[in-house]
Amino acid sequence: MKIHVILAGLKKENAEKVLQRMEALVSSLPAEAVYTVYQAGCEDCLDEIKSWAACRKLTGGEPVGFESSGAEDGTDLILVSGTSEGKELGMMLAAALKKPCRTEVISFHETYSEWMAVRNVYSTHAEGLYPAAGSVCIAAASGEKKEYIPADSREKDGIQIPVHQFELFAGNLIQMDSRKNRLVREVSMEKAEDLSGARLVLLGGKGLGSKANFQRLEDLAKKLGASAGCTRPVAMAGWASYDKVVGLSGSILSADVCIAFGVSGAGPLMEGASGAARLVAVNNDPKAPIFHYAHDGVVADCLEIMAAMEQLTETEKQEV
Amino acid sequence: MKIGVCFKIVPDYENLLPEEWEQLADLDFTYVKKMYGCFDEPALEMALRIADSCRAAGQPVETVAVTCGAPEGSVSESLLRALFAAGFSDVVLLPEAGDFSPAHTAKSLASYFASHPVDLVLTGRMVGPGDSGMVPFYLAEELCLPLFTELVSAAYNTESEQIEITCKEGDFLKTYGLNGSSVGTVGDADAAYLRLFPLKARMDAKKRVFSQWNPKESAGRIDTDVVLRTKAGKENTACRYIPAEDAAGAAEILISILTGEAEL
Repeated sequence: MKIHVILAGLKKENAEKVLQRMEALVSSLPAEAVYTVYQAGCEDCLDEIKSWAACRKLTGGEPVGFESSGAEDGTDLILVSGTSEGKELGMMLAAALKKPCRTEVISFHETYSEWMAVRNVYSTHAEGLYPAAGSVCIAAASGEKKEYIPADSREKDGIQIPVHQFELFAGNLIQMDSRKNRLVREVSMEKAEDLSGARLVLLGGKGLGSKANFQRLEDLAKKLGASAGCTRPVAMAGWASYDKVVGLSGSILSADVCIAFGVSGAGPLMEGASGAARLVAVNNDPKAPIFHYAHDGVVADCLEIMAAMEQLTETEKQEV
Repeated sequence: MKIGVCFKIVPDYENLLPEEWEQLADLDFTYVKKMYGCFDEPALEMALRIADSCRAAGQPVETVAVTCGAPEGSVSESLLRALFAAGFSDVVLLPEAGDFSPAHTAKSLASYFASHPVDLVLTGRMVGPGDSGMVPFYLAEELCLPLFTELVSAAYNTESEQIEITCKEGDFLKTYGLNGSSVGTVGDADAAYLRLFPLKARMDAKKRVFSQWNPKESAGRIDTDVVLRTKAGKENTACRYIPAEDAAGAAEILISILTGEAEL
């Protein structure tokens, strides 16, 4: 199988995790050749990319041509990194090449006749297996990661990886006239805290009841040296900004400890939260699904527990 | 001005019990409560807000909500009629049977919008978390229109006489004035829910009839080879319940866990 790997959206803080994820996926396939290209903008991760490329003994890049169907150059599978830039790029590429697109690929699975890409379906309640060959597969950010041994520096330096200007401008890749749409203004957003790198997280769900209570959770998190995250319904209710969302459509946690207050435990959320090494659930419903995922649990009113924690932190502050 | 929205009516999967998912092969969603796709609902509301801004500027506007599905079973007629109550000019159903295929659905939608051009087609980013999200991309390619992703808001600008859309792009919010027809996917929008409407609007909507439109071109069904299986390897952790007599005791233990002092 000839695989074409496209790396996009790599930054210094996430490069190692993304490449370990790609290694887990690529190493599970019977790859006879692996080509790699990367997006312009990943240059500060060139060292990491070349280390991985050298481990995989990647050949020099035969670039994916958007004009070609992909079949002519013998590529069986296009695998794209699961960053937000990678997802958008992969989907545009699939549409431009008129190939099927498998998003959020968790793993690959061999059946009797072919290799299948495994992904969540029915809002993560089940798994679907789709033919992988001839498709664009976008890696899920969560999932197995595999260490790769960094290559000898001489071998690494010899790697030539082509860089392509995959611009994610407003418009599809082949519609250059999209630029005729007038850019009215551009406003920089406040840099969002990266919950995927946070070591300690307090997670708030709709059980908190109000925006004011979520603000209390944020204040408590700050006092305890933790980050505050939320479920999607909390953000949709306007209680928190969307950059705090944890789950499939938000951040995937790799925290040491995550304490979830008033969170029921819906599937898409747990895909993001269950990456925490230790998940503690606080919920007054003993049948809440989150207790199936949590390592530790407290069946109690989350607001009472929060108030007690606030009291304790205040007492400790006064003692100091 | 004409605004189109593509939306999907889906079962509320959270209403099924965990043990029902283990009977995957026999699952019948027809009895499950239906809802708008969770990212489609903000798209529907965004279209109405654009229409509000058009009317405020004295600009005539129409809104049409389009969905694909089987008239019986997968589509909820009450949800379709509710869109009239919310303020849509027209609601159109493209009858479609069989397994869902993003490419096929996009072709059907594209054939509708090719026959009924609009200034802006809105869709949700994806139907639900973890879904493919490919329909808008295929749709933009079929219609040869620019595609904007991650729309957070949109409105009609009286001075420029254009629809202006604001998209999240990396670390920036970028606002574009549209010079021609475009497709936009709605992500984390400012308004996440469809507006409420009075009972009278709902009663009036009962008299409205949604249209059905059959795509002229019979788009062959592609890309439906999928094998379903129950979630493999999902481990139910044996949750240890924290031994505490009261909230203060539990709080102390939780803080110890956070600081790394506690091992239960």
